[in-house]
Amino acid sequence: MEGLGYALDALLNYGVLLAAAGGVVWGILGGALPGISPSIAMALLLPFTYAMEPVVAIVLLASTYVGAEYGGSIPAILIRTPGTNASAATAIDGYEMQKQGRGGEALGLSLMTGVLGGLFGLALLVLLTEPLARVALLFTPPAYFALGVLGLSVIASLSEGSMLKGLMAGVVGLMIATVGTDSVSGVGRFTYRSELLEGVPFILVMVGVFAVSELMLQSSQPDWSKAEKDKVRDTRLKLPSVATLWRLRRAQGIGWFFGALEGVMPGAGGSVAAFMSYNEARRWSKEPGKFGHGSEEGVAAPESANNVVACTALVPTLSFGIPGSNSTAVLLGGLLIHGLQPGPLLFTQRPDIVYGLFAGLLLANVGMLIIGMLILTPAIWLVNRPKPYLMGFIYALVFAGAYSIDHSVFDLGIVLAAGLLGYVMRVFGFPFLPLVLGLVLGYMIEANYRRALVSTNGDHMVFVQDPISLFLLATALLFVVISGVREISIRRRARAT
Amino acid sequence: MARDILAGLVLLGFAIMVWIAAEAIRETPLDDEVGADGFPKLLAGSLGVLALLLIGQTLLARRRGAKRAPSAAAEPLVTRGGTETPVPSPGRQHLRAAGMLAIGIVYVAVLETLGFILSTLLLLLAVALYSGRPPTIGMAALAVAGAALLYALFVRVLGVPLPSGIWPGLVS
Repeated sequence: MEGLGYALDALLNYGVLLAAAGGVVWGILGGALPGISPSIAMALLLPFTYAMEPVVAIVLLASTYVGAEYGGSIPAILIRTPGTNASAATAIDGYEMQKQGRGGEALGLSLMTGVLGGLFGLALLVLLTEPLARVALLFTPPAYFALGVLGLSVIASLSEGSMLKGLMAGVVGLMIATVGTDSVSGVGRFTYRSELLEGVPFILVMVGVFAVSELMLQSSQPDWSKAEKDKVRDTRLKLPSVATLWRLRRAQGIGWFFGALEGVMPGAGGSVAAFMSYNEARRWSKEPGKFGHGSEEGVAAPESANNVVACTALVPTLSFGIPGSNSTAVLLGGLLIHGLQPGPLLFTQRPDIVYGLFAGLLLANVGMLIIGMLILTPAIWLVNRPKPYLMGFIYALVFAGAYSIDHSVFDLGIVLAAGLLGYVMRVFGFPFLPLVLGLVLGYMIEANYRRALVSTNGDHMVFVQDPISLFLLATALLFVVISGVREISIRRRARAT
Repeated sequence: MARDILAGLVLLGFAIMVWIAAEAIRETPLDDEVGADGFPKLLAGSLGVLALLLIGQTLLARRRGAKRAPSAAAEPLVTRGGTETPVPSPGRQHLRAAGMLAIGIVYVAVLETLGFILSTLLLLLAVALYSGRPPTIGMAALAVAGAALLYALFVRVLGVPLPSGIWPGLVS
């Protein structure tokens, strides 16, 4: 009941209302732009949340994530160019519907099933997060260290086929996190300039790695300025009737199931959920032959799934502070810059944040229905803009955002350096998420590792004597072993072909 | 395959550099069991080992004459829920990417002198021209409008103090 009170407070807070609406608008526009993933849209906002009230900042970021999941389906349906990875499955049948003159219907279906999926995901988030977070109350420093290691072990499953590279990226992220004044001894580590005494702000690294490297990549593409897709004319959005939604209940149910499953599992994410839902919806469909030729189920299933994920992906992030995707890593960054550590204490010390976030997500999901209809024309206009102008704006936005954090030009240098790092990583096939995970989990891992060893005079057995730590480390090991075995089998198959 | 060996060598070198830099971290009476240099050294060691494994794995795959190098098998699988898409890497494409970075470097270099509005105007123009768009009055107008819009948004609406540079002198 207390939580309900906080949620109601948030619902009556103008700042939260504006953040939810603004986040959805920004998310839809960002998601609609091919190349701007939900995590980039969120990372671009991150610096501006610095000065905001924490609950407003978190609602803004989470609403952006929600909006971007729908926004990505707009170009997927209209020009067969998924705005986000998660909307790639939608492009298959959504674009076919568009070609048949049913583009408005496909957009309406995407919007409505997305909203319903989002509300389902929110219900799961509210039900699951607090009980899971309570488990964390039993945690000691060795267990927190092991939890951090478990978070990092996600790297293995995220980097299938290139586990070594994933692990290396994770280690580099951890290394960046060691820059700054050591919290135990007060000694400076790798602080060659006074600006680095407080460490490398991970917001700057995220903005650089995600956004600047994307700009570099876009400009490196042949004829990037001319690679504008067919211009899209205005399309009138047509919402599905209740009867249609009922008819598509099986596809939506499949989307909800996979969205819930993949969302709470760190490392899976919206695109996996969307494609699995699409495949299963086809398998269970009464009209599987329609898939690939403009099937409504082919739009409903993946759109339901990726919107469920936008909420359920927050379960591990809020309960344990373990982000399972780029977007939730950015959201975790948003929590950390306001001094908010996810976990059980967040529920007891700052319930206003947690329940405010839930309320904000409710507003975002419901508001998306109205905003989604209103914003379609501007989104189409934006999709049609020449890319170079958009890229110039994004570049300016990156710099203004990064500068606003500390009013330091040095910070802009960090952003550019991170951008170069991100580009090099792309070229050499290194994944980003491990780097970001290492960066955001670095302090937690090192601090608890050292705390645990202080209490035992350096005896590492403490990590296997603590039952929670042992369980988490064993799970992490299992993750790595399974991924390793899978990687070996991929290589064998590759050699065999 | 050669790229993986190069990446492995570069990261091995980086790991050695980090180890040497960690050696230079001074000890204090406040140090715990691990010390301020302990964790960085652990990471440097881990990175070094991983780099050697990557090099070894690549050489082994080459010796076996595998049709597909590990990285080639891995690249399309890098992303889940992100934007990381491996790109073909001819030198010209990297040069173009470096050009975009150079525009950013110049922007940062002149930002405090020219101020946000002028620098941003030039940034918008530079990116458009860099993409091969012919210079037109429309482009200039868009750059002016864009810079003014961003200034209004950040400084006036969001209250973010951005560098004014010589701009106050121009308007006064």
